[in-house]
Amino acid sequence: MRQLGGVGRQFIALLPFKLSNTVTQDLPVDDEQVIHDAGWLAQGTLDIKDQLHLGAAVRNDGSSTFGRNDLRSWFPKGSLAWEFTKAIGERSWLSYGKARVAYGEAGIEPVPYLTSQTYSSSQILGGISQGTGNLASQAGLPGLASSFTRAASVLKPERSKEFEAGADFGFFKDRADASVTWYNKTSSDVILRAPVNPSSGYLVEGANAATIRNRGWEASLNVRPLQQADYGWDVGLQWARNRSLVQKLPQGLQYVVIGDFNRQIAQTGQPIGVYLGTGFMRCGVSNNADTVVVDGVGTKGVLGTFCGTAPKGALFIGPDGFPVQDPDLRIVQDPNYSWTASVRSSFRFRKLQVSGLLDIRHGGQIWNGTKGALWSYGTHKDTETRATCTKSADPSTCTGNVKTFGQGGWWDGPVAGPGKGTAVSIGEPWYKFIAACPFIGIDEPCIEQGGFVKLREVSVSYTIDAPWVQRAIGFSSIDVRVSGRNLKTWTKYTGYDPETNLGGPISSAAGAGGVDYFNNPQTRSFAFAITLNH
Amino acid sequence: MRRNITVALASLALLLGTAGCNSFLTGDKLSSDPNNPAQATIQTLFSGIQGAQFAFQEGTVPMMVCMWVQQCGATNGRFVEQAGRYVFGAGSNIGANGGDWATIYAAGGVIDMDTIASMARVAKDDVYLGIDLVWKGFTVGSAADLWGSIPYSELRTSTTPKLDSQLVVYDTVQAMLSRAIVALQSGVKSLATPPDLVFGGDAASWIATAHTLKARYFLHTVEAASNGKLGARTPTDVWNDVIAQATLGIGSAAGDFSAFHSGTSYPQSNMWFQFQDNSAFGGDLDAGKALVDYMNGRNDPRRADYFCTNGAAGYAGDDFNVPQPDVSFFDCEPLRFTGDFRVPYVTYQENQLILAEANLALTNTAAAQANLNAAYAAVPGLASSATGVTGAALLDSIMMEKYVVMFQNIEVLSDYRRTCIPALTPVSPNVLSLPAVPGELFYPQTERNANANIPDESAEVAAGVRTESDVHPCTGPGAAAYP
Repeated sequence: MRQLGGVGRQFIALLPFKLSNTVTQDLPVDDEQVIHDAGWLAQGTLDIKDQLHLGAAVRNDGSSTFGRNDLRSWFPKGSLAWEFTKAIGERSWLSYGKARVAYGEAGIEPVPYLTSQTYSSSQILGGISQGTGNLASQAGLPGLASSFTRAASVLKPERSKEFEAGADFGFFKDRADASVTWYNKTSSDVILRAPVNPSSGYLVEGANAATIRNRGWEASLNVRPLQQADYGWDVGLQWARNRSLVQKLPQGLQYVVIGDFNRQIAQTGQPIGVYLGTGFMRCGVSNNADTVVVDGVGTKGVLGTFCGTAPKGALFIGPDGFPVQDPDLRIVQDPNYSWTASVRSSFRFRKLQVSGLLDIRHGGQIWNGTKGALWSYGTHKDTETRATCTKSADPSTCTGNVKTFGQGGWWDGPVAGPGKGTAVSIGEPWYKFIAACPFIGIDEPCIEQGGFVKLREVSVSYTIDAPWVQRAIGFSSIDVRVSGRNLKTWTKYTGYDPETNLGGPISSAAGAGGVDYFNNPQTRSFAFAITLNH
Repeated sequence: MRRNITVALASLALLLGTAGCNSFLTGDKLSSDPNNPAQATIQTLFSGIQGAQFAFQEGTVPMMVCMWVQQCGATNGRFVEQAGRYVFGAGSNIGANGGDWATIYAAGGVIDMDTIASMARVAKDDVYLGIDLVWKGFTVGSAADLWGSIPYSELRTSTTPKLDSQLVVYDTVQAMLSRAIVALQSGVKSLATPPDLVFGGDAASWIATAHTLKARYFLHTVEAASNGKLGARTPTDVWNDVIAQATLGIGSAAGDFSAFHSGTSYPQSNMWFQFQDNSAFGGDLDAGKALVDYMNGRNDPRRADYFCTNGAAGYAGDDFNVPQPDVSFFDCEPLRFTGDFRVPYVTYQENQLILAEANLALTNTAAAQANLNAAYAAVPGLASSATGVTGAALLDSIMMEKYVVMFQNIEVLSDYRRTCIPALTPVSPNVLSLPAVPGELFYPQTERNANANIPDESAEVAAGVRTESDVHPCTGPGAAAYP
């Protein structure tokens, strides 16, 4: 595969869309990847009395992207299913029953060239923000610098081992069916660009860096209570719960960043994708030895002094009546849902069909950076009511909009510290210089619950198959369908859409969900469709 | 049946045979990256370290330092202003300067400087080696200035290198610069002249630069000497070393160690220009009141090079504690913010002002006045004179001239924390409740993540966010110099 590309910045004229019509051009992209894969599969199945089904297979996969000493690997799999209703006979209430177990191993190959040590002419060196930074070549003199990536010395395939067990049922002569599955999938030798300490001269190294387990349940129930020629009604329920757990990382490494914007990480003992950010000092959460200011003249003390009888999680309030940043990073957000579910129903009356789908996501947290930025700009709804301040960064110059941390609906909960119970005025100093998470880096004010119920889709369709259809246009029938997607969301989330994610669905699927930073919500769409059936 | 068995055995043989044959999986573009070179010449690596270190010396760190010492101000509440208000930890948008830390050690940093040194030694080119060692001394010295104790002695022997004390690193840098001077003085060359954008490979210029740098780093230890942290070395010993080195240092403006930028594209331009011209945040940085007021006070001719005029066709600076109206910005791209401006790193003026400070400390008032007048004379149109100025007033004049000269230079932070001049009011309140201008950068989370020797950020806060050589922080107006 070879990619050639170029980026031009700032059009000279509105048209044409050509590189030659741009003021500046980035270095052209000229990237080539050659990968050879070779795999063999042997597979066998065995059915015994048409009720016991056995399957077994073994793969031998090789890839040029693996390390030299691990070019090929074996991956077995097997399954066993028993249609027990064929043995015990159907019952009046049980028309079908199957129990099943399966085990399989699979391999994932890394991106190529992680085992090559190279120099780069295109890495951006230094810089302040996007649009700044130098190249190794300067003033027309050709330059190279060590790659940020250290060559992997050993690179094996990432191996996932999955065991699942479950059962499928049919009830009341197929008026209902149900399925339940438990799975346990462990991915070992997960290939990541694992961070190394930059003082080593490199930033990352391709490595078999992690063991991650996903374990969970999936269940479904479909009921068809009305099934007549002229009308029918069916309901489908689905429910799933997944628990991810990072079980192992390379020795000495605290975490691996998987997020593409925030520091969402894989850390041993934690679910995948938790956010290592910052919060306010809290008793039992922050380090008791943390330095805090204890009075109005700047005398220093330690946090633990104020946390004696305070419950775990009590918010430390400084002498000015405001909470104080905990300088150490800690996990402030878990974007993973506790469980997900959906309800689908459709009703059919003669040629009219109405159906709907409701999606449910329970638990999970979102980092609402959009709100934090709008707080800073003073354009968020919350800032409509604000104190009057003579100095934008000094809360002691504010009057009005008086609140007390820990009570009265303002950060309700236990508090501790020299300033607990002190009424303060909430205005620009709070919104711009403490709570503005994307700019200050104190994430806690921007973490919100992300659960929701969403009316995902409603559709109405009607089939016209009167004889005139055939006569007039030569088709047997016409389906007319009107549908709407993402019509309504019920949620406590204060942003536009709890389902949004800055990195998009790919990032969410990798575990780095729950980031709201000026990204688009899911679109609400309406469709009108006419289908001509021949 | 027999046929089936034959087919099965043939398949198995094919499977096992191919499994053992890996030639299909190895080869030129399979086993090695076709997109990037596996080898680099000494010439290309030398260009690379210039690109990286120009970026470091003109990047986020000097911008932050500019705001901390209030040469610059900031507005709009985004990461620029927040950094100016001491929001610069691991959780901030600055991310505890992880990118800057990488530029010290990784691509274009120490790792490539060490490769260049190895190549030069193999080729027995002492001049090349000497130039590389000056760059490395400057880079490692800058890191020690800004982070205090840093990994150095165990860089190549441990995957988790310990932190060397800042004062030990300064000793290491002194030794490195001394070796550089010896190598440069030998004049032994065997390779083509390096693609040296600063001095074109001129050994004498690099020798003078090394001496001024040695003076600079001796100067950084004087507060430690004053507080008994250098063993038997007294402050007088240090001042004498400063004078000895600066006397051999940069002797004219023509010998200034400055960047070279072609300005033909953004990644080959002055970073201060890049930030104004090609980022969305250039307008967040504005002029600082402390610097502008001082320059206004003496009608300093450098103002037009430094700042844009404000709405009243004059110059005005911003104040983090009391935001000011109608301040000067940099968006008009005055000389210091043009793409090909040679940003000064180590200069004749600095050398003279180092001498002035040291001579004054040793009560050589006349010599100090002469040094300050030499620095003044390097600024066409500047009507200032040190004649008749003595004692604390002379120190203030020396340091304030240095404060003006060192605009855009990381050295202003060392000057401020050593002398507490100018009399700045730290930004208050700030989210970490720091009582003084930060004296150092936090260690980046990228290093802490994989190196257990890096202390927690809370421990750095508890230690006062200052380096070992900065024994007493400057808490505000009235703080004494050299306490």
